[in-house]
Amino acid sequence: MNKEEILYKVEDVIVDLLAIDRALIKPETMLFEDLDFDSIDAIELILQLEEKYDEKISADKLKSARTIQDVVDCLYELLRAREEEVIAK
Amino acid sequence: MGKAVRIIQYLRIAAGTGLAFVLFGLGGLFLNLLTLLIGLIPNSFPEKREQNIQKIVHYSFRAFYWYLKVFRLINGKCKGLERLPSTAYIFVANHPTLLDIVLILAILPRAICVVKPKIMSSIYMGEVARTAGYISNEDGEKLIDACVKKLNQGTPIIIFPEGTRSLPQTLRLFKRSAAWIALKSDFPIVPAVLSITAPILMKDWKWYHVPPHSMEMLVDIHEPIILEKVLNNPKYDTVSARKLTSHLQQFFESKVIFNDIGSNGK
Repeated sequence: MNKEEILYKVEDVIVDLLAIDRALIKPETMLFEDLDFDSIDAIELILQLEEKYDEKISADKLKSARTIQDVVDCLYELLRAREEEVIAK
Repeated sequence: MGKAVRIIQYLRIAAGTGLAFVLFGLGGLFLNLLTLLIGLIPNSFPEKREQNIQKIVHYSFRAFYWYLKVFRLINGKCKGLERLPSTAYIFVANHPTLLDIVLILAILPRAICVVKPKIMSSIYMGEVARTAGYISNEDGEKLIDACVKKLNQGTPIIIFPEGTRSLPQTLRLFKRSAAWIALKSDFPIVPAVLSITAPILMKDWKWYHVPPHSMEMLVDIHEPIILEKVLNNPKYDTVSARKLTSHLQQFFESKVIFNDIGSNGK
């Protein structure tokens, strides 16, 4: 899975979560400043991403994410690590 | 009013406020000590201990309020006390002055507050706050879960959704904790609108920045908010929490009376 595909899915989740127009968000959109996230929103985001990817996502790993692109990068690393693990087995 | 009378008036209020700080500090230390001593008594019912400390806090704040009233520093009024539900509830209030919590805790016989982490470790209030079951607002998720647990045990929660004291002429943007708690617990939000007639002990104010006359403080308790009336389909999700918080903010903005505060006394 490439980063564009992940970005699309993350945007899907955020559009659902906040009930906003997709046009309002971009990769550089700041979660806390632009989208007024609070800590519970961040947890809701993680839960929905976990559901979408059927993958446990550590809240600590996403804690440092400030923008949507940061979330995408973090997910990309996570999924790549999983793929490498599967190949190694 | 003559200048001399005004000076005497100012000195009375400044001295009374200064003494109030001393009493508050000493009272806090005494309560902390008392709580530590009570903690030494073996007790297999921690909930009962919490309730006892909540009662002690209530009566201590009533005594402190009595001092403020006798020295004519504050004249408190409360409207709508009969609207408090018989079950637990989330008491949501604006926070115009440091003194409003005195009046609120003197009014509510049994309630706990959501407080800043530094209060939980304060030498004046920390032991009391921890033993009474007060909840730190340090971590959002833990805060919601802890509040829901307390509500389920029957304990009302006091929350200042602005997170700190209000600005002199406007409310701060509400945080969404109260909404999250209401959506998760199904307990009612009771909005209490506080209005003061003169500024005193606002954020970053010194104790001697006092108004030239006694201050009146009104705690106006409104009907509990019914979630179904505000939200089409209330759920524990981001959209509902945002809508409910926005409703609360608009409600308070339409009710709070700002009595030309912000210029007097400072």
